[in-house]
Amino acid sequence: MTEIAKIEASLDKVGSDLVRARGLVGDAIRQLFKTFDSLRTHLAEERLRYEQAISAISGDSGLVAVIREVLGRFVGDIVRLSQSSVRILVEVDALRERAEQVASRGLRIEKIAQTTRVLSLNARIEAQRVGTSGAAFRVVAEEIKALAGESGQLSEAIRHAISQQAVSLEVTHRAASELAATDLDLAVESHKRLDATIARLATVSQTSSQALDRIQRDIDVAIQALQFEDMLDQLLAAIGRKVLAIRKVIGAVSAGGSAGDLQAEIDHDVVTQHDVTSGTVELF
Amino acid sequence: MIEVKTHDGTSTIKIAGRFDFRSVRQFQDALRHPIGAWIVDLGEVEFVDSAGLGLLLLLRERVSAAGGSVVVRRLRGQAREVLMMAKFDRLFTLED
Repeated sequence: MTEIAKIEASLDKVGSDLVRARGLVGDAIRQLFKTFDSLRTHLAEERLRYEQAISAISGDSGLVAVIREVLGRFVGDIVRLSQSSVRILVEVDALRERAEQVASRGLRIEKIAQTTRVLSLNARIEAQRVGTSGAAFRVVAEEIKALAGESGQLSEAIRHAISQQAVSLEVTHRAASELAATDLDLAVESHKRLDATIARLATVSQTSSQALDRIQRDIDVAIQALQFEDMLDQLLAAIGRKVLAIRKVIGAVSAGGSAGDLQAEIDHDVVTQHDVTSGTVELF
Repeated sequence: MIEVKTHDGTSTIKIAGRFDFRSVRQFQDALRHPIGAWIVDLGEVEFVDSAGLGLLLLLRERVSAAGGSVVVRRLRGQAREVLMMAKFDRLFTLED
């Protein structure tokens, strides 16, 4: 085999390698494109799910809003219950006051009864002293004694009733006090923790959203960069044509001819840019 | 501790320490003052429970029924947190 024939065979090998390279690069690029496109779709789906989850927690009708509403109602109910209980306490105090007044009057009745009993005794002694002419007076004195006894019993009954009422009022007062007194610090603390959770969620949401935006931009840049496959393919095709042209030039020169226009084919650049973000591609 | 002073038709009720169910009797005594314009000074209050809130509502109820008004003054600390959570700022005029 002559030297020229060897060069031509080598150029044929270069040509076929270029064809294989075009195929491999094309397959790899298409696979990468497909992967990034799928990644972009999944990212959009995840972003949607994430936003829905955040909205379900901290949205206008989300979980936090519901908890806030329940907490508000709980506090409102407690306060209303306390207001009613305080009203009961005030009324119980007023009843106690009135009961004390009644007891004081009962004491006065008791004293009147005692005085009446003494008067009745004195009247009976006087009736006894005056003899038969005092008989009618003695009857009146006996009646007065009976009335004094009844007054005393009545006074005792009132005192007993008031004493029992005092016990009932004490029980009512204690129960109303227990109902009225609810420590609201736990509710306040829950409220604060809820606000802190919302603030943290807002921060996390903002940070995550920014991170997702960055990933989205990176994917877009990657997809854009993958479009250089067109240029690479054109470049590889042009190299193949140049190899063919060189082979023809070698053939022509070895036959005693000249390179002629074939040189122009070799010198012609189909892709003028040197990176994937600038320049133009000659379409053919 | 509850202290009431009336000046130019305005009664100022000053509460100190705990404002809870134990304040009922004193608060009730305070309400025997002429009902008109009321100022409730909570600047010295260390703790309020629901009974304290109930007493404030009772005061508001009585005073409003008589055409009067209630201003809550010097809210701070735990008392502020409890009253704000119970949305008392919608029921009372609050002043510093």
